[in-house]
Amino acid sequence: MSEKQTEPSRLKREADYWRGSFSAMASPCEVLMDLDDAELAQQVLSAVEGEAKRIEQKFSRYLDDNLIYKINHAAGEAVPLDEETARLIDFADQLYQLSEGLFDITSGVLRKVWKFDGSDKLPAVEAVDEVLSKVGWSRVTWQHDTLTMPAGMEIDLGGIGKEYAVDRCVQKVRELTDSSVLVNFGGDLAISADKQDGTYWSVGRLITGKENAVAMFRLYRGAIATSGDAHRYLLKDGVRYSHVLNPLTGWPVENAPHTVSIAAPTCVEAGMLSTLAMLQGEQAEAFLKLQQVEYWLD
Amino acid sequence: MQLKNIKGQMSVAACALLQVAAPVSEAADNDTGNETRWDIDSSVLIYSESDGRVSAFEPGVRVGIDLGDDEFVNLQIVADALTGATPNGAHKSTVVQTFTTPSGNTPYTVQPGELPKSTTFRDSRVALTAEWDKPLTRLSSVLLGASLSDEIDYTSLSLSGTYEHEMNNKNTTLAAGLATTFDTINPIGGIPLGLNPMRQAGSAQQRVGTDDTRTSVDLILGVTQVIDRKTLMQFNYTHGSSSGYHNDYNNVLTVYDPLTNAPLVGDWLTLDANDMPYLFEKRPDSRSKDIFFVRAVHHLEEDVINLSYRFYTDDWGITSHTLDLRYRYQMDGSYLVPHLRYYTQTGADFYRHNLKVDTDIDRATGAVNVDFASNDYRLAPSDTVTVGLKYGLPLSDDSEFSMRAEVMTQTITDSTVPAGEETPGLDAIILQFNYSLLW
Repeated sequence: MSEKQTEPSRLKREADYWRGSFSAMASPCEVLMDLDDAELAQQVLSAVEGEAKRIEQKFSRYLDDNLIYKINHAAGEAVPLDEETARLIDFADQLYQLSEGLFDITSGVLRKVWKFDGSDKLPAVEAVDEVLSKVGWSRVTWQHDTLTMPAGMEIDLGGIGKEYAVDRCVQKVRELTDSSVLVNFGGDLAISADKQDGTYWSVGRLITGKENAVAMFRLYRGAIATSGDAHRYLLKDGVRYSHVLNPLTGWPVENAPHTVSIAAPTCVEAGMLSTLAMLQGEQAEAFLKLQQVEYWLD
Repeated sequence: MQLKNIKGQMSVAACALLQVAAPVSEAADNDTGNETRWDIDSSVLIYSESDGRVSAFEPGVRVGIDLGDDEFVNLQIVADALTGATPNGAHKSTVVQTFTTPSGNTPYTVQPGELPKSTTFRDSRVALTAEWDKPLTRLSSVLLGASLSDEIDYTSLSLSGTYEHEMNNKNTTLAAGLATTFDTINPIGGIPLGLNPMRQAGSAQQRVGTDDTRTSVDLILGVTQVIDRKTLMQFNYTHGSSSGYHNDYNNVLTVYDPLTNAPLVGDWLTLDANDMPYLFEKRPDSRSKDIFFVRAVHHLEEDVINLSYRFYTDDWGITSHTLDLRYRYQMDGSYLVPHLRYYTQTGADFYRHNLKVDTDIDRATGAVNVDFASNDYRLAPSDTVTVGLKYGLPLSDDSEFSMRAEVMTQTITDSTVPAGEETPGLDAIILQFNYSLLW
């Protein structure tokens, strides 16, 4: 296991709540707890951190000792999956169907040619076509809890993992306390219960292009997730290429909003809806209106 | 990707992933994908047999609760009010016949040429059913059920559990279940002694206690297979066995004298002056059955064909075949379901039209030399044809009205019965009105 140097979790008393923080999944992670008991706060923070790191360890594609690695290096052999992984694959499969192929967990290999560093370096068309031949969920055989994938293809659950971790952590929190706890992993967040005084949590929201202008979400319950390309894009000849790649073409979605935030009952739903909205490009807002959800666009 | 609303499907998928019913977001007022949903079915069924036989009025309410994440609870209450008369097993005669009601206190007479029926038949029944369908893992679930039915002379308690497992990309569902039923039979006046004579009203009847019980166990194995996008096949096998009291305490058999070609009259038995020429039926105290069932459901463009076949056999000698065809015909804004059902069965080994003096009963002593006998028309060889039509009218996305009318014709196919004495078949009309509401 490649142990990254991460700062230890910290617990701090704010005006009327506890704030815990740690880092996982390449994101700053925050746990805001509407309770007084310091010991309980520490327990909640440890449970959240433990669950986040368990999920990161299990589903990260950057590690070489987990099931994802095994799947991606099975070279065409069938790989049996455990219950939790199978549920995630089921979910990804349903999203693939729902999105008619726009959401595809095999599309991660496209990043081998696309580097979103704010520069103007676009890949060669041939290079994109080359990796695109390794993309396509429909070519994966998903049966009987075993997954069989042609050699050279890879799956990446990164598009689901952070939102899934938020929801799972909220479930863990509910086992420990009825108090309201907000779990925020790099802008994807969910709340475990209503606050005792009936008020809302305020969550800062960065508006693209205005480094210091911060809007606020007011959230009573449920979840918010954000997809965006604030810092991850390419700019060439006046065209801004978002980091959201269309797995059907291998090219970035054009004219997509910079960021899409969505409120939904769970972070998974919010996250997937915002991802699918981004994939609609300039149709993003029309798509969001159809969903009858609360959303914010920049 | 077409622009369309996918929020509901997304919710369902997310709930499956997280194995919960998701909480409701403040922002998502219109969300219906994962909240607890209720549906209510209310119905009234009217059943009416011809010739003044049984009529039933049966109102019922079913409440289904969708708890989300594939978890369901179903509660049902049905009440029955039955009136009318049911054949008592004796056959027609050329003379006036006198019988005694089950209580043993009241006589009733039947005119020549009339089918003897116990005219005091009147009953009410209340049945409660509860079911809980709970997913265990993403591929398996368990269905637990309990039901209780109570009427004046009969109480029945059933408990069942079924385990279902999905495999083959959820195209195949395997099910295994066990159901047990405990029945208590509590006749007014007590349990009559089988194959012994009914006695004159007011005299001491021969009883073997006030009540009796029966226990049944059914084992059910099933496979449901998706054949293609439009076709579903279902196979079920049931093995059941029951032990305890199986008789119908209302039923008697006529003692028939071949010398006069008529029901025996006069004092043919020396045992008791109050004995009448009708013996209470008696059935074995155990029964074992096997049932094979296969169903195919096929979707056409808009219509649906539902065809099933059931084979039943038991150790009482009854073998039956049932063929059932329903065709759902989609119209503009409503639908019709014509229904055709054909049922045929052989009679039980101990089914007999009557008991004959000399062959079945010793003329001198009255001793009965058969072990079991019953003239219950449900144990007779018979053919039944049911023709019906249902009309369904969805009133909105969340409510539907439907009505169903069926005509059932049963013919007893016992060729040994001489003309004039046959038990007539049964004609019945079934009407049902149903209103369901989802919210």
